[in-house]
Amino acid sequence: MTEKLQTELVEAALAGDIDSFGQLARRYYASLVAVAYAILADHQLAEDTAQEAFARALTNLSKLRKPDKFAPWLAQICRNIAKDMVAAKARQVNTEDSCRAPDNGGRDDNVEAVRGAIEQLPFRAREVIVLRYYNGLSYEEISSVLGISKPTINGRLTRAKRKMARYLKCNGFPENRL
Amino acid sequence: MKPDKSDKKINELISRAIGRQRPTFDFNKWQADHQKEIQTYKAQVKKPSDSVESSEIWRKIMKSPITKLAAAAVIIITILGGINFWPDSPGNRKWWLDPSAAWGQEIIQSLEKVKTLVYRQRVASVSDYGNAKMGVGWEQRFCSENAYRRDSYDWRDGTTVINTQWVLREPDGRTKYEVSYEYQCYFQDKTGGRFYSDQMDSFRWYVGLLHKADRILETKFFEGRECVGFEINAGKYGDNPESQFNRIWFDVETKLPARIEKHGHRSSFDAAQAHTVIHDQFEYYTEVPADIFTPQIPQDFVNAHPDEIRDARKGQMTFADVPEGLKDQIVAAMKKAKTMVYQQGDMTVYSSPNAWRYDYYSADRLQKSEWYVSEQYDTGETGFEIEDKVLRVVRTTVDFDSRTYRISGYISSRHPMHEIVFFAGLVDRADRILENRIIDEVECIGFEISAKKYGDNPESMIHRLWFDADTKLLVRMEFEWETDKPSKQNLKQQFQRGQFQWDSDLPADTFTPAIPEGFGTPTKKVQ
Repeated sequence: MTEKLQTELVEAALAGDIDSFGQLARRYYASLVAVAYAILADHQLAEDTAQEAFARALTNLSKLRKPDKFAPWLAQICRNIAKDMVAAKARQVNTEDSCRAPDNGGRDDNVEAVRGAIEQLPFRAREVIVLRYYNGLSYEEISSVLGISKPTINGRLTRAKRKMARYLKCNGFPENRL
Repeated sequence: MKPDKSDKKINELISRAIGRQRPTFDFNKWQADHQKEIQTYKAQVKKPSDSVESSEIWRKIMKSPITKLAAAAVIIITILGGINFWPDSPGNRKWWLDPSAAWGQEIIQSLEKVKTLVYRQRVASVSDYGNAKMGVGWEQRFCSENAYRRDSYDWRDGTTVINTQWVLREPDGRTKYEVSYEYQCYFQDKTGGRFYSDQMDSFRWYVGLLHKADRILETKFFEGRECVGFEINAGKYGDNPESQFNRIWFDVETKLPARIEKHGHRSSFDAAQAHTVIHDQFEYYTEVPADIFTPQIPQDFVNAHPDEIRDARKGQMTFADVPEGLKDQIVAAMKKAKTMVYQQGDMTVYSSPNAWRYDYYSADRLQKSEWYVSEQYDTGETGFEIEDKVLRVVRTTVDFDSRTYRISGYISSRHPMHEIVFFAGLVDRADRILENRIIDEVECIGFEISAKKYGDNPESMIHRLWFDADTKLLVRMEFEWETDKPSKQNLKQQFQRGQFQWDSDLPADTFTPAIPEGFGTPTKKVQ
């Protein structure tokens, strides 16, 4: 989808064309799910969050001042909802015995180690890694939803992967597998 | 662009760890599930924000009192839209760097045009020992020059209106009406006091204080709007403690207040936490919708204050004559302590400001140790909404029976000191003061507290707290309640926490996770 077409769809949606909003929603669904997953680390919650983000975006569409910034605006709504969910989850866990918090037993060690390495990344780095590898988004798609250039994405990805590699090495991950 | 090629191995590892098939989106199903939002959206499109017409807006559309009120609230917010007082203002100029006297006056003048203000109030709890948490319940408030209304949403689910209050200006004072949908009652109270129009007055007052701001905060997006914030220590006005401060955020484009945060208010109930009160989702309207400010009392509701009904349901409560200031002394003594150790059954708990540990024993043999180490958690530039304190806790569990260990990270996990200080803070609500007793060779003062005084605890649940008469530090906690299972022989259940040690000389590595050599993760058990 070209930027021009996207802007036209946003303007049509602003004028009341719900189908245009539908096209935008289809276009950004995978991106939003990844944005939410970077915060929640839960597939189902991430999908729920993306759908809730569309609902909030639709009812607040009239407040969007820059149609060309639709995707970053949508992503920010999604992040806010996801962060509220983190708070809600934290509340739920706190009402229980902390000893009963979910464990990670029985999973592949490598997978757990890599997930741990992703988790320790600063938020921006974690988000770009998840966007790239969770649903296999293209640089084009990441650029659109984050509102940053492709070289910036590339730089962030490279730095994030270096940090992950360092973390994994420090935690005993075999170097020949990196 | 082929940037990832050189990182083939790590790319594969990451894909394996988190990769999944791209999800598809069924817009038709989504539409079916979100009819309310779609109707709201369509209504907005039909009525642009600059053409305010009220005749159709305020009509009653539902029969149930709760849903009618809730729906009315939605209508106000979504149909009228906001007012842009500065449609031609230059977008990039940082007007907030000019002296506040100039633009502050503009804001006050603009606020004069506002006839009705709608906003949301939420309260976040900020633990002295951990993260901030946003409350589930919230309030929607409606303010006009002569009337005020507050809809309170259920603290359990955040979706149902459980209480509505109206305050109406009268020639000789004000009349307050309150309807509790939770307790199916209402009451009316007329007083001669001044009618306080709440947030509108606050706005003018805050704007007048901006020249005293301690700092201008970096711009930040709230609800998709860029805002600039001002932080003011509350100690600069009134009789407020230095620990309180406020932040007021203005929409960069409209210059209107967009969010107010009041930080550092100590909880009167939980001694281990403070509150941050947040007002946001401000909507400014140029009309006063009469129906919104007209009290609506359901015919079958009884005339009583909600507190009366609640107290009647909970049974009579008794309060001992606890000396004034004693609770503060006790709480202060415990908060001053850097480390705490106590025993609960076969478990020993060790606590320090940033880490804690549980050791589980069976017949004097250590079975399992759990270390919890808290660290700052990076949630990104925009941050968690209450971003002042975001901690993540990393838990390390070592199981000596299976010779395994496990490391996992959580955002939550409550610090043991929070609970201890919470209970200590209940002493001024004690049912009775117990006779002094010697426990572990220490003279103790004791308090008995019925747990029904907080939460939904049963009548039979009782806590007894014993404090060192001299140091005011906790010596023992006793918990007692009756089981609701008649089949159990011993109906009375109890446990206690004791052998407290405060600021004792703990080994330096007490809070450092120690994984014995040869131990593996559960999937790679070392024999």
